[in-house]
Amino acid sequence: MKQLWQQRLRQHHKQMLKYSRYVFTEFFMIAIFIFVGAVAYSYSNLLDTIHAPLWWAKPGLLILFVALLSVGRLATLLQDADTLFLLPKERALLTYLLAARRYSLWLPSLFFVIMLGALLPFQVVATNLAPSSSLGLFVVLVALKDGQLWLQLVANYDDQPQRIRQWRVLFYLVAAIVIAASLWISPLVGIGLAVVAEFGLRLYLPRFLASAVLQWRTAVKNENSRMLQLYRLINLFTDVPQLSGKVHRRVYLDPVLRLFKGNHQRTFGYLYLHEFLRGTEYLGLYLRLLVIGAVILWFIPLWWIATLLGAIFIYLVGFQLLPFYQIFNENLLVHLYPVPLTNKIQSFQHLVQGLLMIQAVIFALVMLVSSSLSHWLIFVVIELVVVLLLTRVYFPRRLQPEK
Amino acid sequence: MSLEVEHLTGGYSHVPVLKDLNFTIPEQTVVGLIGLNGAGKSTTIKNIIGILTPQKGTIKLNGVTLAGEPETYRKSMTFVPETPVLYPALTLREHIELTIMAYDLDSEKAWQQAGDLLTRFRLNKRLDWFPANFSKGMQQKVMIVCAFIVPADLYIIDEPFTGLDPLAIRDLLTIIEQQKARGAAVLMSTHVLATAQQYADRFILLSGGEIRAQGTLPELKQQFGMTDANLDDIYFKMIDEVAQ
Repeated sequence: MKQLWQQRLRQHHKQMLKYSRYVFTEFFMIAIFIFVGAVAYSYSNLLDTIHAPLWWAKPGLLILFVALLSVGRLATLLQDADTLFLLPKERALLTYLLAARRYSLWLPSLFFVIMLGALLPFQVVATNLAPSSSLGLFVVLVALKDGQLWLQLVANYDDQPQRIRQWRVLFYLVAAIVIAASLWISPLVGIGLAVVAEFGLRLYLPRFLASAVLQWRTAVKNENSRMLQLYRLINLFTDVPQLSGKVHRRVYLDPVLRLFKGNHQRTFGYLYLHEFLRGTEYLGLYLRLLVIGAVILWFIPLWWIATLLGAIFIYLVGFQLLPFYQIFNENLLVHLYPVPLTNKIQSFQHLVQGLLMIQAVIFALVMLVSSSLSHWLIFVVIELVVVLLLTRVYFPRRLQPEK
Repeated sequence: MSLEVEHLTGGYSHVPVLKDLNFTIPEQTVVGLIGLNGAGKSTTIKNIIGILTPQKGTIKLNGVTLAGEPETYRKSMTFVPETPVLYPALTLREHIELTIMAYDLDSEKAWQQAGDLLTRFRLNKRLDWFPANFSKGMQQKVMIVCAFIVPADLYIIDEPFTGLDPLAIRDLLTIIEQQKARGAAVLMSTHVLATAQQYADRFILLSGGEIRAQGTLPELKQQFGMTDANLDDIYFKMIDEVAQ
């Protein structure tokens, strides 16, 4: 079981490393550096204006620390198929889960170090806490996190969701008391309390686990939801295969869908629009590029560079949407519909043209703020020309099957 | 005359799976396409629905070939695949709407027909659900509904009886009877011989890409020289012949 955990962990790391290459691109790192620099600069400015002691400093820290505890969940790396294949190994799985719990403590601990380090100047200036108390607070936070992970592990054995919720509330209450004691009395008191709580937990746990039955489905569901959160985060930067192909009802978009009046000639228009608005991959791609493009245009002072970039962005989006044309190729029925191919091409062309027009309008609105009217008009004309050239001239040629 | 297949030879590569098939499916007839796995049932169907192009021979539906008048040909026929094919992004209601658009149906009439079928299959309360999340049997019902709201001349059903519950099988057979009475032809491939024997008018027995025999049950009995046989017996006789 221990081997299984290590194998899973290796796989997980490999996968995360793969994604991190796409997330932490040079571009992104530069942006992060600038962002961190800007935050640090305004933080130090803020510190200069503070006159100690601030009455809200300690309550603020209390709330922040309790909130910090919600970072990081028990990572079990369980998979759907485990509910079938590992079933006979239920007892042995505890070793696996214990290893998983120990591992899950690392990332939050690192996070605490960074946050406590960042808060140290504020803490020294705004409160009467000694700098050394940060060390004590760190121990308190890690001890609490440790207890929380135990509870999350136990939750996988509990078949009553209500009791799990009660335990969670209880945990945050205890955590708030312990942190408050460390802030107002002394971190040593906090450590003492945390040790007592931890001790009680460890006394109770073996007895509970000895007779508990693992709730396989809950355990796998918890892990899946954790991974889903992670994938969503990564999906902001790059495509995650586990997320693509997912479909969401997006009821709020139904009015848009209703605007589309379908008929025989527009059969494929109906299909493409529904697929686009409810799918994840292409909508995400479109919105990502749209937002990035708009932000970049906002920061570019030179109008002709902005015009060029706007055109490039429209071209890029149009080009990236091209494979969307093929999305129904796997579906047998599509090939049987008595709808001529020209209608399909036309429908696709209309969809992309509409999307690029929306993009052009949003870009134009952004440009309206910063440029003069004449420059703005040139911008609009050029964007329109690009949209029309791409969808009216290039697309029909590209999509026409070779004879 | 509904479907005419003449000298059909075809397959996936240069080696043809089907060898010189000849058969017709007249209107108001239910034809069972029967054969072992790999006998060429699916390939035959693929050629008829136009996913594969015949290497030799012609397929005419109401006297029209696919290459000649693709829209007319396609409009006269619908297909229920063995594995349901659904759009993940469309609800059940939208699947029906799409079918109405694609086949250019009269919306009111089609919805009336759809209402009947949906009630029959107990799907009428699920119109706003995604069929992609349904169980396999229910997905198959969706496919059947979408195929049968089209007033086609030929319905092709691949393995209709696997995955459906007994009640749904009975309902499907009723629907087939209704369409037959209206004048449509039905071609179904199946392994469930007892049901096929009961409900099909004619049979095509495929073996190794060739038609071993075709006709009504009495005709088949005569061809195989088995006066007291049912379809099962004839089927196994055919298999034994091949084994020898």
